[in-house]
This record gives sequence, structure tokens and C-alpha cells, in this order.
Amino acid sequence: MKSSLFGKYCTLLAMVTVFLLGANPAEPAEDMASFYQGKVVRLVVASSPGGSTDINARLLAPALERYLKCTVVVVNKAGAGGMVGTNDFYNSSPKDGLTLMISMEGLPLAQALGAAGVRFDCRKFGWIAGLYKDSRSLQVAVGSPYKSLDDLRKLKQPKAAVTSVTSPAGPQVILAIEALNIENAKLVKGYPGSTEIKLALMRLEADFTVQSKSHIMRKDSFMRPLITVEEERDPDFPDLPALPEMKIKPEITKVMELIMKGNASGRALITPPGVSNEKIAFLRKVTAAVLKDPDYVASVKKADLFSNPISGEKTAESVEKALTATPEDLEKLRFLILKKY
Amino acid sequence: MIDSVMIASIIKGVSALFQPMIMLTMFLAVIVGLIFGILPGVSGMTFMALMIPFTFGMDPFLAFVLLVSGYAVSSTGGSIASILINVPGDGPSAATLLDGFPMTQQGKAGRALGAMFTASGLGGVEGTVVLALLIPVVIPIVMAFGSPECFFLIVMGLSFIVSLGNEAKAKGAIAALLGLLVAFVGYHDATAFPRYTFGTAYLLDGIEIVPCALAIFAVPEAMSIMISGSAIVDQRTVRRSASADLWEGTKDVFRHWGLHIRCVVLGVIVGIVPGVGGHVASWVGYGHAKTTSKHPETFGHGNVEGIIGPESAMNGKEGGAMLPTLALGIPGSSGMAVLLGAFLIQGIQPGPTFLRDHLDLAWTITGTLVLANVLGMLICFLAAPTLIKVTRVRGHLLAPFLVSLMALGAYSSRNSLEDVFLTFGLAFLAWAMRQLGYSRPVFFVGYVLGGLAERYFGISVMAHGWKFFLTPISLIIIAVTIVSVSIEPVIKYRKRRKSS
Repeated sequence: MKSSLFGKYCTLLAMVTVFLLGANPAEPAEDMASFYQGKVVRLVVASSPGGSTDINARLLAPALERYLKCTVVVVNKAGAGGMVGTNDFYNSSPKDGLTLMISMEGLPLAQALGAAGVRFDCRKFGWIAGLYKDSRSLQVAVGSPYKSLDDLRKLKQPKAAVTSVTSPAGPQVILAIEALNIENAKLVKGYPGSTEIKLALMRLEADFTVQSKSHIMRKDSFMRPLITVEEERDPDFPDLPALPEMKIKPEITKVMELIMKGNASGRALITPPGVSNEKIAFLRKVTAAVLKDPDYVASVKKADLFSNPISGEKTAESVEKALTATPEDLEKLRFLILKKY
Repeated sequence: MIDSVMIASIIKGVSALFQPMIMLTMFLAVIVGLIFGILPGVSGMTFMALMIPFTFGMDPFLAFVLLVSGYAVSSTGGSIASILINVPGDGPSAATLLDGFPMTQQGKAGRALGAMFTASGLGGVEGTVVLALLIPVVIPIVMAFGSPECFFLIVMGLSFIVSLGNEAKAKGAIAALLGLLVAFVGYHDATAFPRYTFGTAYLLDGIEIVPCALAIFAVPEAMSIMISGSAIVDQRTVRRSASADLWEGTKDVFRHWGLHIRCVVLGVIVGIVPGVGGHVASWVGYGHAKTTSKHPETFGHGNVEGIIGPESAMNGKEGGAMLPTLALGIPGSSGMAVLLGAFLIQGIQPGPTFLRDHLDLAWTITGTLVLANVLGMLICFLAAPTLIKVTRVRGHLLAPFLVSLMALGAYSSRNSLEDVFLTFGLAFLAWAMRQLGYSRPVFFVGYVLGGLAERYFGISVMAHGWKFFLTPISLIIIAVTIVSVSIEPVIKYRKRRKSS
């Protein structure tokens, strides 16, 4: 009788064990590795071919292929400054971990501003790794008569070229104008991209802009930086002062913090919502190794791109912080970015 | 001045093209580029984007021969589909179908293709020659074209709307305004304010050019074929030798040599100006051909000048667009932006020092543009007799294939299923326009150039105030526009006075 009861207990225990093993979503790393082996991973880029995000994706794809032993296909889904691709990725991607995306910069800021077209919640993406965070500076054309910020301040109506106020660099242009007391500044909006902005500055159609340091790092740079529009000096330009080193009004300091937090995630590798934590953890581990891979690092350097990886955990934290501002602070930010100029 | 360094770099750059591996690569790239051009929705730009991963670790000379060869001939491929089946491979090819497809329907597909291959191929070669000549003076030229000049260049393209429609003026105006309305869908460039999006994220970026071109021109034609069940070519037309027809088309280009050269120059100018693009080039070419033609009334009904104009301008443009890319590192078109990315992946920085440090590579690229265009032209001539046969396939067999091709094209331009639905939705508008006699080309030009005109108008006013038009180049473009638009009415008026 006893043995039969013992047998029943054993059978029940075995059944529970089997059930728990089957139901437990935890998948060991080796299972994860075999899951990706031979599969096709779609790497979505929410911009057209040719831009820095696209080039980065095309460099990352073969490195990921080597580590995951799968095929990585880069898919461009451009539109509305990355909004179309991001919305589609968030709302329609399968949650099996086989669709990844390189996020556009400033998605948390766009969400905080309530920008038109935002149909996603940045907190729900799976943040695998921050690939690189662009550092921006206030720039003038090399051939222009402006050698310092005072030259710009002396102008009757300095003109700043910008794509739109909600583009990744847009809020930083407004931040620079406010923080640096460039009075009577006017925004010339509507340029399709940084190429056209650069030309506008070279032709003196506009006087200054705020854009990526990539424009001043190239050998044939036509741009001269005057100040780094970031919270800290850029290691590549140690002599260029950063914004907080100037005398900034306290209310602008708060705006600066919000903008910086909103952009802190940079361009990151993400999964759509709903991908299991174990897959995200596995992808974080693999991507961390990929981003240190000498071949990948060399290819990024050769293409004149930057790589300053941030762990997935830290990127997710910065996104969380960006979206925890008080309603009053957010209102001030919205007024400055969306209404004042 | 040509010095010994220049001569050495020309010899090194051009001789690289005659290595067996490079020649084989060019041959294969030209064939694939032509196929990419023929398929709607994918273009030379897509070709380059797909090929870039293969260029990792490749010798730069081989890599750029691969990319540039396929890209250079893709617009020729796009025009093949425009002429034969009224399906524009890309936006700029739409201008070619206005007269190309009517010629096909009249059984003159060979002649239309012959004219197109020659105008396009020679246009590419001549545009490249101009590119080589202009390299030393590229910076002042690019600098001379600011936003006001771009705006007036686009207005010049828009002004040709006047010459496009053959119907009543009121109907033409309505068609143009409808086109402008469609152009304004999506984010307003300057304010990032969404317009006519009905709260959907899909429309935020506006209506894409490939679905729109397919809807306006291709789908209504496929519907006609489906309804009638007959082949594209009227079966009663006399079958002529394809090679004789092709030769006739080639001779047409030489008969209209002045038009061809003028349109190539127009194309090069448009290409040099970053941000204006191929759409302006092809429509300016078409408009110029019509306004200067002795028989403008036959345009839209199969006038070969309506093929020579846009094709010369469109392929001439590529040489011009290459110029700011190589010399300044500033891409002159979206395709050139992808090429710029390929340069960066190779660790090469386009710009003034590029011409100093890699002059040989610059000559290889220039030579590639020339050779690829010539090779593309030859391959097209050889393939044309086979391709023309599609126009005699019975309608009920051809139409399903065409509709599938259009759906594929609409989808592949942005990998978006919504674009397919939009194409067939807009096609109903186009069908209604066709039945009611509203000009679809006028609608399309309003749509293509309206958004660009609005952008550069806004920037010009913001940057220069309301006197933005008072720059020498703007005034010249305004004068040229007024003269070209008024030539036809003035001639008509004089004829009337003489006869009375």
C-alpha cells in the first residue's frame, strides 16, 4: 500500500516536474544558441539606405551572423524621420526574437514631447545594447566670417538651419539658442537633411546649426565647431567647451537635462515588446561580444563611424529616466521646442 | 591644366577598367542593373544598397565598378517597362511613358526603344564627359545654387504643366491642384505638422512616388487591357522588323540632335544641384521637348521627341549628380547618398582631398559610367526584339501578370503592404480622371514637384525674406521659364494674325 502511495507520489512529482519544465519559459543559453542557428534574422533600419544608421546595420549584420550562426537581412523601412519604421516594428513585428531593429536617436524624447505619429512606448522595447550615441556641436561653415559665439551674438538676426524642431538635432538647436543667449535668433526650417544644411551654411544662407560631430571629424570638413551641445566635453574634441560650462539660466538647465536624457539611449539595438527576458539576456550577451569583436570594430573605424557601446541594462535605465519627468517640466519643454520657434 | 600627375592618374584609372575581372564584373552588374531598372519599385539605388555587403574587403576599384555600372544603367531599364507595358520602373521614368507607350500601341515599340536606348546611353556618356570637364569648377557651381535658385528651377519644371495638358484649361488646373493636394499629404517640412493624414502614422511620410506613379499610369492601363482582352499593340498594325525599327529610333535621336544635347545640358545642371533630383530632370526635359517642338500637338500621342527629351536629361543628370558627391562629399541624389555610404565603408572620404589622393579612382568611376552606358545600350539593343514580343501577348494573359508586377513594385519600394492598397485605391482616381478627360501627367507633375517647390519656397522666404528672387541666377531662370512658356502661345498668335 505504502509503496503504491509512494509510486503515486513519484508519478505526480514526475508529472509536475515535466509540466514545470515544459511550462518554464527559461531556456538555457545553449538552447538559445541553437534557436538562432540557421535562422533568418531581420534587422530593421527605419531610414533609407546610405545613412549612418543603415551603414552601421550593414556592418553589424555580418558580425551578428558570425556569432549567432544565422543569416541577418537588413530591411529598410524609412519614413517620417524613423517614425513609420518604429511604429511598424513596435506594433507588427513577431515576438520570436528574430526581428531586431537599430533604433533612431531621440525616440524617448519624441515620446516625451508627444510628437505626432508616436505609436509606441519606449519602455516596452527590449533594449539589447546602445550602439553609439552621437555627440553634437554648434557648427558654422569654415569659410564663414564667424570665429566665435560672440560673432554670432553680434548679428542682427542670426539664422539657424534645421530640418525640423522634432528631428533628432532640432531640440538641441533650440537648446543652444536659449542656453547661449543668441538673441533674436531665427530658425530656418525645412531642410531635408544634414547635406542640405551643410550647403546652406557654406552659402551663408544660414549662419549656424547644431549637428553630429561626424561632420567635423572628416578630413575634408567644411564645418567649424564652436561649442559642444552636450552635458560633457567630447573626448574627440577635448578643447571644445560643453554647454554646462557656460552661464546657463536655471530653467534652461532643467530643459537641457530633459533633452539629454531623451537622447541618451542613442542608436540602440532593440527587440519589439513581448520577446522573452531570456532571449533578451542572450542577445545582450552576444551583442556585447559582437561590439568588442576586432573585425567589427575595425570595419566601423574604417567607415569613419563611431562606436561607443552601452550595455542594454544601462540603455533601458536611461530610457526609463527620460520618461519620468514631471508634467510641469514636460509642458515647459513642449512650449520651448514645439511653440516658441 | 593637364599635368603629368593627371595623365598618370587617367592612364591608371582607365586601364584598370580593362582587367578581365573588372570587365566581367561590369558586364554582370550591367545586366543585373537593367533588371533592377525594369522591375517597378526597385531601382539603381536598391541595387547599390543590396550590393554594398558584397563589397566588404573588395578592392575599391572592383567595388565601385560593380556599384556604379549597375546604377548607371538602371534608369534605362526603368524606361523599357515604361515604353512597353506602361509600368514606370521608377518615378523619373514616368515622363517617358507619355509618348513611349502610345508609340508601342501603334506598333512602333522598336522605334521608341531605339530612340530611348540611344538618347539614354549617349546622354549618360555625354553627362559624364561634362562631369570630367567640370571637376575643376564644381565648388563655385554648387555654391551658386541656393534655396531660391532650387525653387525657381523646380518652378521651371512645374511651369511645363501648361504645355502638358491637351484638354480644357479648367480641367488642367483641377488636375494640377489635385496633384498638389496629394503632394501635401504628410509632415509639413518646416513645422513637422501632419497634414491630411487622418490620424494614421502611415501617411505621415506622405504618399510615396512609386505607388503613385503605378496608380496614375500603370494600373488604369492594365485595367483597360483586362477589360478589352486585347494585346497592347493593335493586332491590325503591320509587323515590322524589330532591328529596322530600332535603327529608325536611333536615327531619330540624330535627327533631333539639338534637342538631345540641350536636354543633356539641362540634366547635368539639375544633377549638380543637390536636392533637386531626377524627377525635375525628366519633366524639364519633356517640357522643353514639347515647347520647342514643331509639332507640340502630337505630344502624348506618340511623338518620339517626347522620349528623347526626358531620356537625355535623365541619364545626363547622373554625371552631374556624381560631381558634388566626388568633389565635395555631398550627394547630389538619393542614389549618390548610397554611393557615399559605400565610399565610407571602403574607408575612402569623398571631398576635395579625394580628387587629390584618389584621382585614379575618380577616373575609373568616370570611365565606368561611360563604358556601362555603352554596354547597357548594346545589351538593350540585343534584347529588344525579344522584349517587344510582350506587347503582342493577349490581354487576358498579360493583365494578371502586370497587376502582380505592380503589386510587387508597390510593396517593394518601402516593404509596405499599405502601399499596395494605396496603389489600387489611387488607381480608381486615375481611372476616373482618364474617363473624364483630366490630364494624368499634369496631376503627376503637380504631385512630384509640388512638395519640392513648397519646401524650397518656405526655406527661401525664411532665409532671405520676400526679396528672395532677386539673385542673378534666379532672375535668369525666371526669364528662361517665361520665354519657354510663352513661345507656343506667341507662335500661335502670330500664325492667327498672318492667316487673318
